[in-house]
Amino acid sequence: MIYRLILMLAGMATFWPSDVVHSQTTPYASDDDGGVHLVEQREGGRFDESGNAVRGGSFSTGWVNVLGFELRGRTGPFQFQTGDSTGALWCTGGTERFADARIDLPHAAEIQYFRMWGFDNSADHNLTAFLRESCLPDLGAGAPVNTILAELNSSGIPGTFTETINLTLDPPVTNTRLCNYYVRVRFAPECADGGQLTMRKLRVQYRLAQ
Amino acid sequence: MNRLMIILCMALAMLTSAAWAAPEFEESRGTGLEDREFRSWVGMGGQPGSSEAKFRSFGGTSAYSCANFAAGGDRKVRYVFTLPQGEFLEWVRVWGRKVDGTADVTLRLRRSCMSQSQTVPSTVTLSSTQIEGNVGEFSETLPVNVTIDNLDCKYWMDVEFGPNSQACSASTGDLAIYKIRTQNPLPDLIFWDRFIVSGSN
Repeated sequence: MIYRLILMLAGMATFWPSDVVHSQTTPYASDDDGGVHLVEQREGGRFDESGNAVRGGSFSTGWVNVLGFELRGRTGPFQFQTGDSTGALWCTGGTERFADARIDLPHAAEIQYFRMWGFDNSADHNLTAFLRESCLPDLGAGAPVNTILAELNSSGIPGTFTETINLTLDPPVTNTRLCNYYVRVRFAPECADGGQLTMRKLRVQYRLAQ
Repeated sequence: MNRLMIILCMALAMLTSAAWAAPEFEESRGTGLEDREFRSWVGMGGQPGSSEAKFRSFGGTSAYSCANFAAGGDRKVRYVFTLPQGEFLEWVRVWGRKVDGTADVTLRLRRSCMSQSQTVPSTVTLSSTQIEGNVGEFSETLPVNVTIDNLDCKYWMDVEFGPNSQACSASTGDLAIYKIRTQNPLPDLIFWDRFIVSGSN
């Protein structure tokens, strides 16, 4: 015990990290027009979603990304293809047009932003992504209670796109004791348009109180 | 009084020597890996490249065995992973099995990055290797040495069981991935009970 105490004191004096590169602690601040933005930390500075530098506060920010080819069809016959360089997945035929992927969020995290990247060259259909929560009773049996926390749609403008939704005004708070979190992507009916409608990446940004 | 002081000093000395002789984590000392962290995935934890990829688990190992026993189909399986922000990924190791008459296996550690102002990702191969011939059980390492950026990037091990112009194997278990494992240094070891600076041993 004493040995460990001595080592601890010596270690604190000698190896206390001067540059905490692994910390994700980021400030949380109000911008000039009174709105509050979640901070994204980047190399060499701290920025909000708009790319503006910010200062002050102490929160932990994290991100969970899901590439398109991490999605799994809602039912077995889901027919799909993937892209190597874009991370994309698209459905290629059949009747199943939904695909899911788990989002590995920590407990008690405030979900701040939900973003998707994709490719929409379809004249008739859009790509949709849902951020979903599925909860069960703590110990007892029961039916899952499913909630759509956020929804994103491609705009219909041809080509690659990215869309985001800001949830910071009333952020959903995760409860991993009761709930699971996942994304569900909806392609065109009967998987029309195939590779003209592809999901490349989804991202959730969250913050944790320190 | 003097006797009491002597007894106290002796007790302190015994306590100190006992603590020195029996460190709590003695079993991990000397391996050179105390300050490393590992994460692993079973073979079946991968994502097939398309619905045309045929695969089977075998032998109760949760291995991913390529089951495209004829030309055609998809030969890819990807192991997408997330490591803590800012950590330094040193190595990825892949275990598997490859016997005579099976397609060569290509392993590529890939990274795809895309900021929120971009819509086309920049995807690169960070490390790659090929496994050829009749090697039986194999264990292959890929050096990576990259700092993890979860804001803009995603990482995965890309496994390709040869071209789809030929069968990948003749039967289940001939060509399989058992396990994928990442290795990175542990940050802030001062909080991990011992005081080794990452990479110092």
